[in-house]
Amino acid sequence: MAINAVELQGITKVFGPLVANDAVDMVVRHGEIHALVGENGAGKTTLMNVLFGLYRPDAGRILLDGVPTELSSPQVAIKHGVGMVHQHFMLLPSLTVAENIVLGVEPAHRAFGIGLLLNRKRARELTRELSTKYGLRVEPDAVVQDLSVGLRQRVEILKTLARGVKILILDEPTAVLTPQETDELFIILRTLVAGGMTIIFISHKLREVMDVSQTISVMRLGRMVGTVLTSQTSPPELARMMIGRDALPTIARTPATPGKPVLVVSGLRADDDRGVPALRGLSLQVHAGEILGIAGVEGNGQSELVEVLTGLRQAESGHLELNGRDITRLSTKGRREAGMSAIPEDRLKDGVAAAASIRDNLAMSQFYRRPLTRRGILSPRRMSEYARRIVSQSDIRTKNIELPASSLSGGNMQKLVVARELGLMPKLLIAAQPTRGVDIGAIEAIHKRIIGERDRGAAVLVISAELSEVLALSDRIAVMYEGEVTGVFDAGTVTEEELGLFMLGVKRQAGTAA
Amino acid sequence: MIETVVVTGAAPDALRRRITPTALAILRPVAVVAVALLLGMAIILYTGQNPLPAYENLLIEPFLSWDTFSAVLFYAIPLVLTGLAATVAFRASIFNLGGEGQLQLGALATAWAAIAWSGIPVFILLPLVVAVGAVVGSLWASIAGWLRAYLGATELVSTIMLNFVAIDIANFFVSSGGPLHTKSGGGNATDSIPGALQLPTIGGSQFHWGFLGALGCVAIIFIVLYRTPLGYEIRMAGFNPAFARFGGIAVPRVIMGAMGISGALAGIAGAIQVLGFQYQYSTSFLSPQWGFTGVTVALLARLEPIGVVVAAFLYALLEEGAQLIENNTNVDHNIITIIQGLIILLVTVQVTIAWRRRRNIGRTSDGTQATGSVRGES
Repeated sequence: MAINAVELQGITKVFGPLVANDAVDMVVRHGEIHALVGENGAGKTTLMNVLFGLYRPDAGRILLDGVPTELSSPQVAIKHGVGMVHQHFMLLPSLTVAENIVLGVEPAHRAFGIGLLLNRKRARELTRELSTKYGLRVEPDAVVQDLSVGLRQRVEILKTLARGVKILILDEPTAVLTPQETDELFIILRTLVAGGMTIIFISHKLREVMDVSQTISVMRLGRMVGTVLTSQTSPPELARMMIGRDALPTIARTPATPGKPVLVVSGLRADDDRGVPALRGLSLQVHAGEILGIAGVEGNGQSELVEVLTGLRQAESGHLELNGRDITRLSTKGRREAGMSAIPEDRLKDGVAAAASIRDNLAMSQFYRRPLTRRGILSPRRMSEYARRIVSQSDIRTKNIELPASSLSGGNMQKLVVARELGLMPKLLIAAQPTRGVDIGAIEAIHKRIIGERDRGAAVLVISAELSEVLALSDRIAVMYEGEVTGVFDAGTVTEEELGLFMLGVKRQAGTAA
Repeated sequence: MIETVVVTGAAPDALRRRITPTALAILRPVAVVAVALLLGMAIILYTGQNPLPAYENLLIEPFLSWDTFSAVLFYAIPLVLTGLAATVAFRASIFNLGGEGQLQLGALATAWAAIAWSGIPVFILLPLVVAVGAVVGSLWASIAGWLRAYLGATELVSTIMLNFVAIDIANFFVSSGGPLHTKSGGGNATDSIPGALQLPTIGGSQFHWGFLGALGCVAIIFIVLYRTPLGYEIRMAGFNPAFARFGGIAVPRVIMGAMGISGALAGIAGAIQVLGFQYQYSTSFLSPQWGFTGVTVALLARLEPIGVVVAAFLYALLEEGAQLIENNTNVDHNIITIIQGLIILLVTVQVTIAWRRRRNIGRTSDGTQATGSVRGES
């Protein structure tokens, strides 16, 4: 029996209440490109951080070349030939390529028996040697901050090669690359493998994975679903493995009675924080009295869409209309006053001030209006009355509204956010990941309230990474893939499998706009 | 990590239920100073001296005569104002370390206005010259505020650097040959302000009626922070700017507002030093770094306006105590510097722990899946 490059056996990693890896097994053979796929949050990066020595597993062991190995730190991992290129590059932007590559293993001019000064000539030579050997062309004297993202990634790869790495882990290497750069990267990866390297490639883009890998391992919710040979699988099978999940309890609901369009988005384009296009001409409409659900693997522009809709991110081009009024240039406050409410995807970042009282948290977005503020004076008494009313109506479990929001459980904190946003009687409700990380009881309560808003006549846009949630809530479903709507379906007319193919970019409808 | 959040978070909650916020605002600075004094006592013992005479001069003596007690109150006046100035900025998560420069320019502007407009009736002129000091301090602070709010330049650096600029500007105006240099040919100072504007002192001491202005500012800032929409915006932007933005608050505008108010308070501190103490603007003696000390006072007060009064009083007590120790005992008065250093250390530790706790709370958001079940449904 052949000895494998890497064997992970029963790896378990727990972060507080979250089991990021649950007894995960994985086998990587020598000289293959092994893709590790799964949705965001499936535990891929955690597993690889364990292999790279960044995290100590809570259980399980790692075999390298068949030998059980304790990888207590990245330094130790590198010594054992395991290197990793993270999604966020770890280069010093003001230094040259050669300086970055030799950082930590600097060749030095020797004097008095010790290395004193960096031997730049030797550093340059080393960089050139590596770059010709592996066909990774970079200019050793170029300063890293002047390089494109694709070239910086090459420098990162060279950096690991300079340390004699035999097993290279790449965490979503194509997320930041243009299609051409991706093609070039794949050529490099094939060259490296031909030279005896073993590569583990994290991704959730099925087309790329099918293109470049020999073996594919699929993770879902912290567990290893299975490992298949690329030549013996198909995108639909992978989609099922990645996305299939248990259905939520369905909530009794009447059919939608959609009215006129409330939110009209046309040709929206916007960049993400890195300056990479995240929305590429997205169009959709949400009508009064309907819930439009957006399905999609995370990282396909959903976060940016919410930010642009709520006025937190500048659109490059495109139009937004709310009830027939152009809101493209309105501030967040202006949009809220025009009838928009929003539940943010990360309640701790955008949804609450954790250290402020529950009362203060509930007052946001209307603290400056009657009845809370009269003649320029904000009344703590009326804020308290309002907060107490909301807390009892929405069943937010707390002893005292003066306690900080951080004293609430996740489910109750989310109920607070939902109650606050719905308390404004919005014409348009944007609900991003409305039940992320909350218990099943809170999920049901929140879903009921969202459907209640629809029945009241509000237009509701639900964005969720949980396909089951989109299916449970939506009257219509739009699939987002790489910053565009690639398919629109009426609820009940499409299967999960079919949606999965659209979510993973295997299929798309022609000329789509929701 | 998450468990620690619960544990550390639970204790203050339990406290908060039994003690009113006002009592807490008063007790906290007292507790910190008490701990610093105990540590200081240990240090004196370690040097082989008897700490009791020193502490008697520090803690008892100042209360025994109006002479000494009034001196404490006199020192506290500017500290209340600069402490409030730092408090307002801190509440918006801004470090205004430029209180000194804002104070100096506010003082200079007040002195100028008092002399230039001396014909105006005093009941109009007095508020007017204070307003001039406030406006100038506010504008000066707004430079750093604007750099931070719209260009993202860290105010930690800009406020400190602007202090040097402010002090040089003030020097230029009052040094010999400068436009406001005194006609009587003294040092680097303006002429004296009209006698009618000089705030009367109380009981033959240096303590003056300016304290009413300082306490008035405490009340105003309390109301602004807790009873106005702007105060709400400042507090929420300070707690979590992303949350504020998401809720529709224009955070850069709030930063400008907080910085403007902060600078105005520092400017008023300068104005009151001119009106109640020096009766002119002079580059010497006006402020032994009251602007900077305000930062410590604010942290000692845990950013509560009422706590600022207590913290400023305690700090003033240390100032007067240092004098008395110097005059009456063999203990080196530098022990006070050490105690002040300990206070700064202790409040820094408190603040650091609080911030780390807040960051930890934020960090659980990475473990998005299940923060819900962490703390249990209580």
